[in-house]
Amino acid sequence: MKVTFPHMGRMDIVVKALFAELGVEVVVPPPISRHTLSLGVALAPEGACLPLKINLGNFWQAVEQGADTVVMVGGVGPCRFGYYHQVQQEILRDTAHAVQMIVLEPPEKHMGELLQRIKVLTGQASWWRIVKAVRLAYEKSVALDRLEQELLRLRCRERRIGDVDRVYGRYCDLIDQAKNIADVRRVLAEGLQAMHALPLDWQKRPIVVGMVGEIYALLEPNGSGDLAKKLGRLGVEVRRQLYLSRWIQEHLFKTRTERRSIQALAAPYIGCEIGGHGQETVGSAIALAEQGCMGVVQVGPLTCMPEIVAQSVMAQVSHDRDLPVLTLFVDEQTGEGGMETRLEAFVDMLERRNRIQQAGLNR
Amino acid sequence: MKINWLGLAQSRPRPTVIGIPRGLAYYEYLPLWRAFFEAMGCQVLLSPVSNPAVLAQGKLRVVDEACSPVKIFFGHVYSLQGKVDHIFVPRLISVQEGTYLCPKFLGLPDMLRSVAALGDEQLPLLTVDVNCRQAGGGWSDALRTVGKQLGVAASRVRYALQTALAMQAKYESQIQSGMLLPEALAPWEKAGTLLLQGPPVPGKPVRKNQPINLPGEEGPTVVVVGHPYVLFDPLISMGLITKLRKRAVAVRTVMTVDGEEAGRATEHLPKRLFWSFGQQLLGGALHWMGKPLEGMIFVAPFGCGPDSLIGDLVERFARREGNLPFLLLTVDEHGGDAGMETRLDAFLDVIEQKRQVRSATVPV
Repeated sequence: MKVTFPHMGRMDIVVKALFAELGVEVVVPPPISRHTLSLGVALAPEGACLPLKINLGNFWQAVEQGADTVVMVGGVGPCRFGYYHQVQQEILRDTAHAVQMIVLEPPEKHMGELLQRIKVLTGQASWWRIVKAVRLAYEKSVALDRLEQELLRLRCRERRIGDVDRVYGRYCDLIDQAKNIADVRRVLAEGLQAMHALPLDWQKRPIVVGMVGEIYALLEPNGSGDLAKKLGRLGVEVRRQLYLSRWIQEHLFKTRTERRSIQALAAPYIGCEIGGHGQETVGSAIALAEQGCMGVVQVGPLTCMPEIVAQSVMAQVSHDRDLPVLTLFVDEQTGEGGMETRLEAFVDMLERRNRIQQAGLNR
Repeated sequence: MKINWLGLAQSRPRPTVIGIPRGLAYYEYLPLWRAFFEAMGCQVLLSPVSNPAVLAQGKLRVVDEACSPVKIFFGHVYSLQGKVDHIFVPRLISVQEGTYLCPKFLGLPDMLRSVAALGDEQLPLLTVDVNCRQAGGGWSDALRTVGKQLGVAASRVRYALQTALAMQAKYESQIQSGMLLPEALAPWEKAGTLLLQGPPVPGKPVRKNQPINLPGEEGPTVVVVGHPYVLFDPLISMGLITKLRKRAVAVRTVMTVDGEEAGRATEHLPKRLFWSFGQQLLGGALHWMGKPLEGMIFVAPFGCGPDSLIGDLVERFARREGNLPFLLLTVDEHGGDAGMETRLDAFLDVIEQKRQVRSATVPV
């Protein structure tokens, strides 16, 4: 059995750590490229959302490299993602790239269910080994998220374009190679130090923008047309609340996170959970505004149902909180130029607002 | 106090008027809602049949990304504004145990409220959660809550609920026995207070845009798969059903397939769909595939999340099944009539050709 999985940001490092510890052979799909996307677009139904298409491209390329089994998480709705694996399996069945699909349904109550599902996957691995593997994988995801958070914060301060990204990439690789939890923590500390040691413009008072929306678009640069980087290059400090480690805590470990307070913030606008990250998008926008973000960019795949509901109430949030919001829906047709123009206009507007507010304060 | 033949007291000078928008869940639950409100002594006002003015109202207010059924629903809600005391927009989370509806159904009242608040408009929404995922959270519970919200006595609510559930059961059995939905729905769409006119009798719908003299069903048997709020909305579906019947096609829908049959048809799938309306489409389509059929049309609104996956699955299964002609029609509010006619003609030509080939190869 050679296992593969879909890409989502640097999740590959986390999944690889988990399976390597358990002695399962893993094929990491090649990094997402134009080719991956065009493979996915050719296979997938045209109305499906972008993540499904990129996933399919990942699977196809991984099968070409010898993978025969796909592991992915499932879901119980109402977001489309919960049924992805079924559709993807049927699609690949009609091609020469058929795969076996192993679905990790998120546990209903507590993380014991998750451990049990992983045990089924690995067969003879002992409970101790499984717990150890999960702990290392989780530690890696926490470290990666911390690095990414710093990347989003510091990119706008770069004096030489590309510096922070380079250091980030290098330390992601080092985290990938780390063998145990102590190693991971050491690499993380070094990585943060290395980032801060770069020639950065610490005097800068950048515009701070919050990024909210659907998880794939937030975590995977290819799912949002590299939105975070584009904002960074425009001199914007980006803040985000949703990271992979938090998702793991909420959905796989079933522990309490800040999600509850985020949902409470959204409750006056969206009264119940509507699937995906719809309610959280609204709550996060409010939370980020309270934490000092001057504007919010909402991003999701085109036709994403929960994000459309969130978008519908976002105008009211924007009005109530005096918070500029830009909503972007991304699909395989999204052009670089159009997106850049919209972002530039949005950032220009925020800068002007900021100047006026500052002038008002100084008077 | 006046008492009518059903034993309903009419003590209030002016009954409360409840508006029901003609869209989305309307096609599934109108008898339930209308019987319930009328049995409680309310008056029911339906929004007009979908027309371009209604759609324009909706498009003005809802985000571009929403699907056409949601846009037109907004139009229906706003066409009731100012004419009624309450507009009934329940939040349908789950109408069947362990399932969901599309997120847009879940967020519908929120979306409406937000649009109204932003425009400083008065939109008297009457909202209740319908959530079968919680114990006792089905329609009975939801409607009891509505009765309480309207300040109706509990005994009367109980009576109204009984009447409503019976009417709904009758309506569903009519549809499952093969009656096309508009015909079963027609008696419930009449003006006035239905329950005072005696129990409703099903009949042919009489609408201005529908020809009364349709040809018989000597043409091919074609199953049309799609949500009722798409198929039977004359504007969204661009009169697809009428167009087919004008061409003498024997139209069948997936609404005739009951939940159990649909469940059996999807048994071989490792994972059941978690959208109950979607399950009806998928299960219904697969159920019909086992029957003698000459074609299948899947109608999906542009941007519909569940249908983007279900449509693909149905098409895939149809292709594996053999050579069943399959047409996937994506509709939105920019639809052109000529394009639709051409595609239908081409599709029916394919069926006709297959018929000829089959009759030529049958050994004499």
